[in-house]
Amino acid sequence: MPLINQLLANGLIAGAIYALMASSFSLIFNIVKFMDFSPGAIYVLAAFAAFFFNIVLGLNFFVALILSLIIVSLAAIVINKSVYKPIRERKGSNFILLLASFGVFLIVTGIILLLFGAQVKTFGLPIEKGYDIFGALITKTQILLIVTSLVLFFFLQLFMKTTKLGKSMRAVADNREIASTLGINVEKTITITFVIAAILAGVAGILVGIEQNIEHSMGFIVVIKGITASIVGGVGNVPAALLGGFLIGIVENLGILFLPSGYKDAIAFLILIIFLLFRPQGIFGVKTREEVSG
Amino acid sequence: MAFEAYIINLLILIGIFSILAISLNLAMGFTGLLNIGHIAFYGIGAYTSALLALSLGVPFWIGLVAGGLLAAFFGLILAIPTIKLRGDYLALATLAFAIIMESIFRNWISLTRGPLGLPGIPKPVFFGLTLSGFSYLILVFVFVIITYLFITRLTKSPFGRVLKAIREDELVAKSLGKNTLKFKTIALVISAFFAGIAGSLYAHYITFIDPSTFSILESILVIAMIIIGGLASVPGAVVGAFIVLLIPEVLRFLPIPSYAIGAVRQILFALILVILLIKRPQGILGEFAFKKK
Amino acid sequence: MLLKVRKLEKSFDGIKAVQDCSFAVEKSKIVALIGPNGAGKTTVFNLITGLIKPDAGHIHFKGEPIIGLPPHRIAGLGINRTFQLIRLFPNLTTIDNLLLAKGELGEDFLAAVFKPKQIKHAEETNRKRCMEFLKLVGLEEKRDSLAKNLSYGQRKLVEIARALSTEADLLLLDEPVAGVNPVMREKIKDILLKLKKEGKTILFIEHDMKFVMRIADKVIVMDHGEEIAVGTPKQIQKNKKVLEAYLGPEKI
Repeated sequence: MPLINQLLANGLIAGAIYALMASSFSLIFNIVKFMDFSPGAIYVLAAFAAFFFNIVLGLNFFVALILSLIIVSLAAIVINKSVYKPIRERKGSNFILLLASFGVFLIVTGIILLLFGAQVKTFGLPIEKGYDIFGALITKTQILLIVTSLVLFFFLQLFMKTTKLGKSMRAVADNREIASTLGINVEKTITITFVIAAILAGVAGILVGIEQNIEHSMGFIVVIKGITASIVGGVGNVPAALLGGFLIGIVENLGILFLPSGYKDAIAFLILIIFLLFRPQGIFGVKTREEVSG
Repeated sequence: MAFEAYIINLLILIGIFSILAISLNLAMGFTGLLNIGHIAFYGIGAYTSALLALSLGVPFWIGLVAGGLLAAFFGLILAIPTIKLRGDYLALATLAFAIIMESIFRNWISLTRGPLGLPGIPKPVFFGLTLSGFSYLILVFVFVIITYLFITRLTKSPFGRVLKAIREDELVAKSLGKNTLKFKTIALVISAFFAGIAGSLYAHYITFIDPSTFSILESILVIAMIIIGGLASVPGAVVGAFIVLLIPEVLRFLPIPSYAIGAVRQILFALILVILLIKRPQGILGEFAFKKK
Repeated sequence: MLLKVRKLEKSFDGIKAVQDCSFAVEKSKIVALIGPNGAGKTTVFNLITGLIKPDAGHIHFKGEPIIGLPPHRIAGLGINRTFQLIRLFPNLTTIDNLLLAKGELGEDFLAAVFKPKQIKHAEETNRKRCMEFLKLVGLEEKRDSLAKNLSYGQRKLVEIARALSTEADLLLLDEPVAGVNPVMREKIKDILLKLKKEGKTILFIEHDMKFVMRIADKVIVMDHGEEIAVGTPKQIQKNKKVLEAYLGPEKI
């Protein structure tokens, strides 16, 4: 069964990325309640920043990594402060915010296109020989990718559960007004959430960059896969995003057994539609009561 | 002469996108259906009439109607399960629908030739006269007028009033005895029909289509048109189409290297969209903005 | 009996909002539904209008069972309501808000496209009728104002006028005088009494006891999702159970 094992392995690798994107999306969705596509832009931005520092300037990879994450954090702060916050203050609907996030996505990726051009870039790492694990070939970078995703995820959970900041984030997500009466600085908490979400998406972008290659248009599909993963897991449930991510990664790769590989993306979106119709609260979500009163 | 041809080409595209934007405004601006995947209906119309013409030699006029009808049919197929989804979830479902459709255009190679696209789509013939250039502009203009008048009549009628009521407060519309699912479905189907017509007009004008014309980013372009022109405004949709399509043309006259035009165009129109969403979410001619309930 | 509710039950997340609730409303009467906050009154309205489905029980309107029908069908049978927090269509004009209460020809898509003349005619008739209701609440000059630009009291009146425009036999009014000034309260009282004379039936929720005692023919008291007393305003004022529900047993 080497083919199935290889597809499973590919599913895990893709799933690790989707899980990171899904947690980035979920963190933001929890706290500001709108579907934000900007993590897709952050993902591209981080990959190109790392490429610029590491390859163009020739800096050490870890220095480049840190610098890139600083850049995406700043970008997230600017996006939230200059676009989302004014719309929130005008009481724009979630859909306005969603559209604005599309706009942000197009601006950021447009700037990257302008600066770096449309050609595919690579980090130029030597081609690795894969390890044979149950008949599936997996490279060291790919293992690093899965492990990083899991470790980051573990730390995110720890952070949310144990630190004061994590608790404020959950409080603001739960009820903004009550949180502010408890003395939590709501705007600051939202800003920090955007930064953490940006780091998650940024790491995902850099990992994919070193594992495959990068281009300005790579962010869109991946953010929608992340959203799909988070809906399949259960929107607003960050741990479930991990499971959703791996599930989507594995299902779309196994789907190749039945459909031409070109339909890989379509499989994920078919799953999305099915979940939206039959279980919009996701696998782990709790069904919320529809508001009818008053 | 070249300048004249350039203007005619521009006006034809603005006309086609006006039809697309007016039809989207019916669903999104008037009814409040957050349809991000409108471009899929455009694609269905384009592929249907192109394939009918290329493989069966069906005349343009029949292909045009078939394109509209098939798009409307897909609108119905999409609406039946998803129309009850609220707000953002409908947006996501329509997005997924559009990506799936694009994926089919790209991968059903035996039918669509995939990424290679369909070249050589015949220009329409009208009483022995092949329509191109100025005569095509007239054809498009006629369809813009038809769409404009039809959607205006519809939205000003009691039917349109119910659509607006659904947008404002669906629950109350229900308790006033409106079968809101039926109204929303009809709105989406009509919207899809005109998008299909626009797609067919596009295919027979450019004479070549490929999947990239119908990508989700093009959908955002159309949404930008109605946000800029104004939600729930029929003339607003036309104004929006003008503005969004004129942006890249203005860039031609600025000292921007040609390789950068695509990127600058994308940045500029996204910037306008974002600034409007922040400062004036009802757009230039719009009567309302999506607010938090 | 115009409306009959029997052993109605509804829980949310395991908490009983309405239980063992039974009452009846006779034609051309004004009936008040009172009770402390959280007694389940609005939930009863939502159940009657079909916005939510009960877990158990029966609701009969004009002798026909209506449970399980979608809200628009129930509205079509002749029940209409107002909301506790006024819910008009904010970006539509006052008259359009009222016209929406009319199920009219032009709302049919095909008619809207192909029968403009008939629609125009139907629309004129309806407009006249709606203007009568707008006159009744004294807002005829606000005909073309957007609903969002009206004052609180005006919106309250428009909502009542809209409910009337449906020509429903049974009107459910959720706190019709909450938050309105005394002058407006008198006006609403007069309107309701006039409607009763015209043969309409009104079931309303209200916390303003003076108002309830002055206009209700019958009062139904709910507490903790149950109906605990039924009677004339006089009887209810003396009912021990009712006093307990409102004031708590220790105070008596």
